Amino acid sequence: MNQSSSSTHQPGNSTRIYTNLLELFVDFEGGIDRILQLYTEVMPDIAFAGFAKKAEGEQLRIEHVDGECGPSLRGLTFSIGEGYLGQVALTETDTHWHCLTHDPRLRLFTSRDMTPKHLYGYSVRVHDELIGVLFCGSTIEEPDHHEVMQFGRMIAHLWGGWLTKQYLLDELDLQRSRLTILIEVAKVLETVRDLRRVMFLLVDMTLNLIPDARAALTMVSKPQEPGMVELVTRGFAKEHADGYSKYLAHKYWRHEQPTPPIGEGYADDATYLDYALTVQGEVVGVLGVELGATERYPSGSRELLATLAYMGSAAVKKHHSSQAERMHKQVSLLHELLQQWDHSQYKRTRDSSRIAEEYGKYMQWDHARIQVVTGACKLLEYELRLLKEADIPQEILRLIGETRSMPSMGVGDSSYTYDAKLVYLIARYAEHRTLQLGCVQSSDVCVTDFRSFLDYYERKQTEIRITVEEEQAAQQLMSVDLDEVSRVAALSPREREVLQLIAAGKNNREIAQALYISENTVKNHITSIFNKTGVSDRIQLMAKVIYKH
Amino acid sequence: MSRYVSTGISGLNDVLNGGIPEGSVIIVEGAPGTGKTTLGLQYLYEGAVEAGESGIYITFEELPNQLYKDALAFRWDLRRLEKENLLRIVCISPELLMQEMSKPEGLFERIIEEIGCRRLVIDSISLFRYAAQSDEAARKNLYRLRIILRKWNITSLLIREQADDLADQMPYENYVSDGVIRLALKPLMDKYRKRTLEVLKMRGTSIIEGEHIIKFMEDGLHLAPLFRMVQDKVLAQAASSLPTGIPSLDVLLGGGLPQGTAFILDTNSQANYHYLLNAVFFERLRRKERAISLLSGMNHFDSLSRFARLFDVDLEQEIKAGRALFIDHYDRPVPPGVEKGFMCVGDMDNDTFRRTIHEKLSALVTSPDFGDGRVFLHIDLSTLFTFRGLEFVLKAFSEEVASARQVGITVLALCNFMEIPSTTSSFLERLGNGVIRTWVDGNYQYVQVTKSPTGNMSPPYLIESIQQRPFIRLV
Amino acid sequence: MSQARLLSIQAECLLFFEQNPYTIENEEGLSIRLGRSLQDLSPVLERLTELSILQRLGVGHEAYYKYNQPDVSGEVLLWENI
Repeated sequence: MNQSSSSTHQPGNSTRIYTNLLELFVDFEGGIDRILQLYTEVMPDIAFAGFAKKAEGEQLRIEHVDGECGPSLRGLTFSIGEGYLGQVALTETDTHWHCLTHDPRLRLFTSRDMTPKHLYGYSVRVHDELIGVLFCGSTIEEPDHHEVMQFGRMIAHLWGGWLTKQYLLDELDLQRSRLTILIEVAKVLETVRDLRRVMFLLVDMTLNLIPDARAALTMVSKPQEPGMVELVTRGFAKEHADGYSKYLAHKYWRHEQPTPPIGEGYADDATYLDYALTVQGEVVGVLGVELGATERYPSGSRELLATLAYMGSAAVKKHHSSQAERMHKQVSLLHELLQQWDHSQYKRTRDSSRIAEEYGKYMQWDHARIQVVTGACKLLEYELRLLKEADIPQEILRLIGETRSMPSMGVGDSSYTYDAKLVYLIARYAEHRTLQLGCVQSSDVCVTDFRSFLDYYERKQTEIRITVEEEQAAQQLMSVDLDEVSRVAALSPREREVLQLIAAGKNNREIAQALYISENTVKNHITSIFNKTGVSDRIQLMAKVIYKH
Repeated sequence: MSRYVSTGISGLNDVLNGGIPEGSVIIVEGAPGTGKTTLGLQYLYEGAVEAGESGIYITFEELPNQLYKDALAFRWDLRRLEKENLLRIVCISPELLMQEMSKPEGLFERIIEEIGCRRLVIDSISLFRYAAQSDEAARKNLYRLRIILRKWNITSLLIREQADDLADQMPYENYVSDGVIRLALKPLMDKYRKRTLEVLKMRGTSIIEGEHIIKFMEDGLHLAPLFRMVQDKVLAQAASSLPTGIPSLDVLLGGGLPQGTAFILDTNSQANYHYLLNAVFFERLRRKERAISLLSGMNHFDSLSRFARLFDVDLEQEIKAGRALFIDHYDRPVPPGVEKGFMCVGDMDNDTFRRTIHEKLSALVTSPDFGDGRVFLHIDLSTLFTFRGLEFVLKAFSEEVASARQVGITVLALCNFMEIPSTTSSFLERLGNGVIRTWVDGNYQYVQVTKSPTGNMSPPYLIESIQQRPFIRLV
Repeated sequence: MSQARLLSIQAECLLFFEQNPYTIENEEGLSIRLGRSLQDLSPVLERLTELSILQRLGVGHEAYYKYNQPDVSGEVLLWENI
């Protein structure tokens, strides 16, 4: 190492320095050792250079050194604020010191029998966070401070910049990866019909995608059974899962105030994140994850969880609505069966369910309520036990039970629900075709509503009847004409069939398909029809039928 | 007492005379694309859904995911069955399977125990060969497999790729198994192909030999057993159906014309209904049952007799035995000895005609040698309308048919719907228990059961002529 | 291997077992089915086993992996409705 102080700034030097620097960073692979090497090479005033990396807690550890005596420093640690270097870490400013021999702040170096006269320290930051301290020292009296500082600063910044770039690129890659995975998951969720598989996927993907995730939980409510949920967990001990799920249930379903759909919680050694699954504003499930304790969980975790929760919501929605469909089918099926055994009951209950539906529309009820009330009307006379076996939803069962318990006359208990009273009234109306109050008070709001509905309904019925009759009359006319024409023209039965289909607006191919014959045959028939009726095309034919000339 | 395990494929159980003997190990072989995988899946699916028996499908190459998807094409929800523990599709390597088979509490037996497995399919054992170190090892593995399957009384299908090169074939596999089923794709006529299934070997049950045609339908594989098969099955049924002698038609009718019913055969004049009617008529005689033809429209005894011979019937003999009677509106010369088989009603008035027919039938029914009472009455309504008038015939017909049915006489009435008013045809359709329609369109003749006592209607079928009795077949 | 790559392969592996739940495969088999090198796959299988998403049978390169179902509590009553 050249100790003679040729500290005068030589113009040729700068270019050489910059070229070196440029060369270094162009092909840089990240080796800090190379940087340190360059530092000591290019700056003859410097005796040693090193880098102390920030580790867990408040400690920094000297990981890399170059220059003579430098190697002995390797492995030494210091805290933020401790000694010269600790100062740099604390203040995050680049500093130069002229060292006093017995300065306690020099302890790090003196412990290794090193007595630098000058020390320079620079903070290295990646993405605005301190990752370590770059330092160098000189043993000569008057090094060229300016040169050394500038060079050191440059290196520290360049290197910090490079590291930041790498970090950001990795993050970008990671995010892209996550996005791709989410797309794949969305694709799969689209095709999966089984709720349990959806839940498995949510739990496993959460563990996969959320960094530091240790355990995950998902629960989905059962639409027809309040209070019941399907629960799937991984990584939790049983009691832990119980406790956590109860807590989440309380938070999302029982809370008085509306809660935001996301939550965070902290325990001694864990962080919790949860996100609600919602369908049309209603909470249908929760996705929760336990992370290893961190002061702040990695950015993006919340968003990821939210995305998974939304995807889960869509899948749950699909499942619930198919459930609802199935339920509806079940109710309809049971009702239809009545036709086989008790046609009059079938008719009565069918009529009452129709009235109920009209009523619901008139009162602008939501779909779910209409379903429950019409279901109750349809199945009103079934044995409850049987309905329970058939998995008919609780709400319908309850309504039926309540309605049936109302006495047929006399004063009833005023504590019956509106809907039960309604079903009661509708059933009686369907049977007698007049409003019969039975045990319901005439002052009851249900009665008032129903009365006004009946006004509207009865009026509507009359209108419908008239329209139907007119239509039927028109149709009668039509078929009579076809028969007449067929008879007069002495059409064969097959030809009459073809004529009927023509009148219904079918083209040749459709006629051929309907009668299982070829189009050619159809054409032959049509030709024959034309001949027999004395027309030359379809239009004339239809005219003949309609106007009978 | 051993029982039979249903194969899950309609028709195949009949070919096997009940099914696969319980506990058997059956090899299913075939070239790629012949339907082995579908057969295996159907076997397990039907077993789970129909018999509540759980099964395992072991696949070495095909991924379960692909199998789930393929099954959905037949509307089989395999994932749901897995959820209900009625099925496991296990994707594993042959080496690992062999390894686990040799361990006492290995993975293989554990899975079997877990779901209470009764059925198993391995796709395919050809890979066993490749994975094993030597032929000897492969053989040992197969034995081992069989021992385990026997232990758990599992009825299994082992799928095998068909070897083109004979040298490649492993005869020992055939020896170790209890049966071999071969699937193939064979040419049909010039441009078409048919899928066939042949049972080459089956221990413990008799089989219907030959290549049976199989088809992929909406809900899985169906097997149409050979000609002979249907007759036997029908015989096995209670003698309450009169098989028509045309197996494909019998299938549509659910065995044959149910005894004591009246069927209307609706035709347009161009349709060649003769074969249909004659097939049914002579089938009765062939089975030594009684048949009466009211206005068959056939002329000389000779031509009748020739026709009968085609159906293996010696008409003279049948007439002499009193089993065949032809009633017509004109006199025809008949050779001596068979006069009693022919009657002319041409010069009778309506009432006499009616009375005579009625008497004839009653005599038959009340005669001491009526036997099992299977009498078949064939009526040509169209001709009857011409000779006797619409109104009379309709009235008479409906009354006679009612009485005939009560005593168990089966009626087949021919009618040309094109020549009668639609009200009459609707009336006849309502009167009959069933309606078989036949018509000609273009170059083809079709037949369709549009009404039947079983409540089923059939789609239209093409009539194809064939060389053997009954000379037609429905396609 | 970068985080991103690890994550991708991990997800692929997971989805594979999700679609084919009763599959039992070793490293090599999975490598063929997923089209990933053994090098890439090893750390992934390790991580998935750690998370107990996969169950490992045996040791080393001959070990087999199968999917471990999460804990299913089926239907749980979390609160009573008034």
